[in-house]
Amino acid sequence: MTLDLTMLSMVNANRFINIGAIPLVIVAYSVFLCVDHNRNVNIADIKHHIQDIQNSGSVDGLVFGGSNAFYSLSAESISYYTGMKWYNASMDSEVVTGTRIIHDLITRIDQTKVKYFVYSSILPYTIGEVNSYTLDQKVIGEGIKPIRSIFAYMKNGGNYPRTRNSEIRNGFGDIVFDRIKCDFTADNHFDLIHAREEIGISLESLIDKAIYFASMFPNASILIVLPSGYYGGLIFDDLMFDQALRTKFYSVLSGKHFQNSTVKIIVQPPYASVKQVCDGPWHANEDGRAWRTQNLIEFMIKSDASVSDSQGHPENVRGGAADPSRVSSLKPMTMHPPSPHLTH
Amino acid sequence: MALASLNLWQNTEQLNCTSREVKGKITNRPSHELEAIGLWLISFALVAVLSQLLFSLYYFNWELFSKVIYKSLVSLLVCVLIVLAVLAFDQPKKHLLKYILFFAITITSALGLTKTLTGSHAQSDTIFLYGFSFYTASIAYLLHSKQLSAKSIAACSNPLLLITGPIATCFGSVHHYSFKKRFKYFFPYILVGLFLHQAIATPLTKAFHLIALTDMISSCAYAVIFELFVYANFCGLSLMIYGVCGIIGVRIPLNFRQPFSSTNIVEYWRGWHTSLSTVLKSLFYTPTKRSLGTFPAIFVVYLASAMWHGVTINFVLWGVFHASVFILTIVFLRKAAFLPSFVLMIAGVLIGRALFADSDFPRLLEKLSFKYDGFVVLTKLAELPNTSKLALLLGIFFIVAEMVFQKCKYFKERNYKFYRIPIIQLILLVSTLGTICDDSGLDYAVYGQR
Repeated sequence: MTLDLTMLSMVNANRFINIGAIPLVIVAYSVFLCVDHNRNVNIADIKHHIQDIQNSGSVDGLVFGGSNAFYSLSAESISYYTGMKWYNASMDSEVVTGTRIIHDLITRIDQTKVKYFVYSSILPYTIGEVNSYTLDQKVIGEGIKPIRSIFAYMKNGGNYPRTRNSEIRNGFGDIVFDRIKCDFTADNHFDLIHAREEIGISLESLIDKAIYFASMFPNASILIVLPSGYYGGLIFDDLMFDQALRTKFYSVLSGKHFQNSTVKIIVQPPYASVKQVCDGPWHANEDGRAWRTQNLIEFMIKSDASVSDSQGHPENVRGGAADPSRVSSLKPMTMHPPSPHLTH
Repeated sequence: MALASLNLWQNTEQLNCTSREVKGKITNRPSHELEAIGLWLISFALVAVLSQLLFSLYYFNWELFSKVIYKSLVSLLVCVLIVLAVLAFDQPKKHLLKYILFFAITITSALGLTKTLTGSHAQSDTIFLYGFSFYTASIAYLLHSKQLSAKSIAACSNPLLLITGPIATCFGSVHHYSFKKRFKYFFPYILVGLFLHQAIATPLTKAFHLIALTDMISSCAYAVIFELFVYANFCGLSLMIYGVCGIIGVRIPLNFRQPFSSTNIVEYWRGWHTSLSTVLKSLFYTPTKRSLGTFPAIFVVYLASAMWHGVTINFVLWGVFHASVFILTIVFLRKAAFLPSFVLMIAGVLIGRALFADSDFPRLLEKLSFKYDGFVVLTKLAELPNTSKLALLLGIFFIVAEMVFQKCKYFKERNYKFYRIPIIQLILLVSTLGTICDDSGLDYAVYGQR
């Protein structure tokens, strides 16, 4: 009798779960998805960003890439040093740096007037994520999945505050560090694993992107940048990787009948101190940004002055630390007349 | 059990399509041509929907749908051409042809047309080779078992099966059961698959950078993570496709049968990628065993399997290693040494996965030097996102449960019965939906579309 009752209650419980609880959870989750999609600021943010680029008028140079470029390169500084008008068009995630963003971009600006296009990518420094960086990648939150999980919402008390990127960019598209929190402390002494993707895998993607950018900006010099990162106290020798990557990059490009002078690749040196980073190993703070931007400018100057190796490409600037006096001169983020000797 | 284990790949076809539970609940009958072709047609829509749900593609749109149609038509066309070519040859050459077909993926991988399985996305860039490894293996098997027909062509070129398998070694109909009954039986498989794929596999991709660590502890930790990832990804998708096909009314092979509910590596392989095991048994094991004996046959099987996965040194090592472990296990079981065979299974699975995962040979050699460098990996694991940590815990729990409770009634039939209990289903559903988010990791089929 007792056994029968137990069986009966189990059957009832199973039936309740199958026809009541599981459908209810699915319906509740659908409601959550609707709410989450209504709160998605990613797409609106991107549209706003591209509108800002259009408002800035005709640009000579564009900085593009993911958050590493957003935090760590300054279009304002490059404008100051080169006397040209640069804009930092980078996104807050490298995943969204695909064709759709560029297509949006080129409808808003005169693409033939762009003389320089800098693309900064962490792709060769991450393993197994090539698929995340394809040209036709969607924007986060654009698909059916929510931007944040239910557990993440619950952890934040049902509220997930998010700052719109448009609120933290200046007129050059650069991040304004006064408006964000660089939360480095001794406790979160983040460092980066010295990971290098197989050259063949990352090369394929970089070449695809380089050719795509070159076709979108026909009169521009395309500069593919492998960014600085903070690796803690780790000491390593990347010379072999850098050389192999550069050699293969130019070799594959030549095979595709690309003019060597149009597309270049640069590997930037790692950040020397944790005092140069903001909230992650790829994200510089103001000092780190000035340092990295200076390093990039030096490469561009060398490149234009035809300081080249035997293959006709500029020397690698790895290890060539930026001149501190020049770096400090970059700090005032205001537009100044260009120095004549640096003007292109 | 030990003696049963010695009967290698016993009744693999039965395991695939007519297990005891299936016989008791849903019997199979051969499907008609129309059913196979009908499923092939509606699979367009299913693939498009699954791609949206699982792989986070754009909203459902015509571009995606047309791509699915194009890929599927190309696969069908290639299958028809292969079969026509097969029929054009006389009987003796068919014998050779099936091996050429099986190793076609090896040839295309060597030529760089298809990619080696590395755990990363291995989808072929060439549209003409979409799903190549699956349908060539299927046709090779069908040729061997003399089952080539319009139905079998439609089955092996089915776009749903080409996402991640299984190889279409059997294709039964369960249409004689009502939709309600089919839904009740097969839907739980979809939820288990969804849990494995979304709550475990996807967040674990955030730990892939750990492959760069070469010390012994880190290498072992990465092997565990990668084993969990491959199992959750491949098995999860296979279970979902099994469930979807079942609801439609078609029974396909159950590609995974709780591989960790095993006490030795022989049992383990009887639960892992069973459709490939069926093909390997038919094409390689049985004929080689007849002429050369059991042990050489095992080596041939694993080397063939290795070449099917990719043409790199690590896969050759993987094949030789697993063949050796398999043979050693047989020796242990013959001496009734159960504990050593169990320990060998754990070591074999982990070291085998480490070999499988890393196609960077110098780095692999460094890992195989087994140098000790403390517990660096713990710091790196602590830095993983919370969803990845949770996925790791859930994955370990899932596998340990399979292993520890393998004698219990809900586990011993090796068909995920425990996870299909309503209350467990509810827990899995809540865990899955609670952790899903767009940037939790990468969505792809680890064995997919090459």
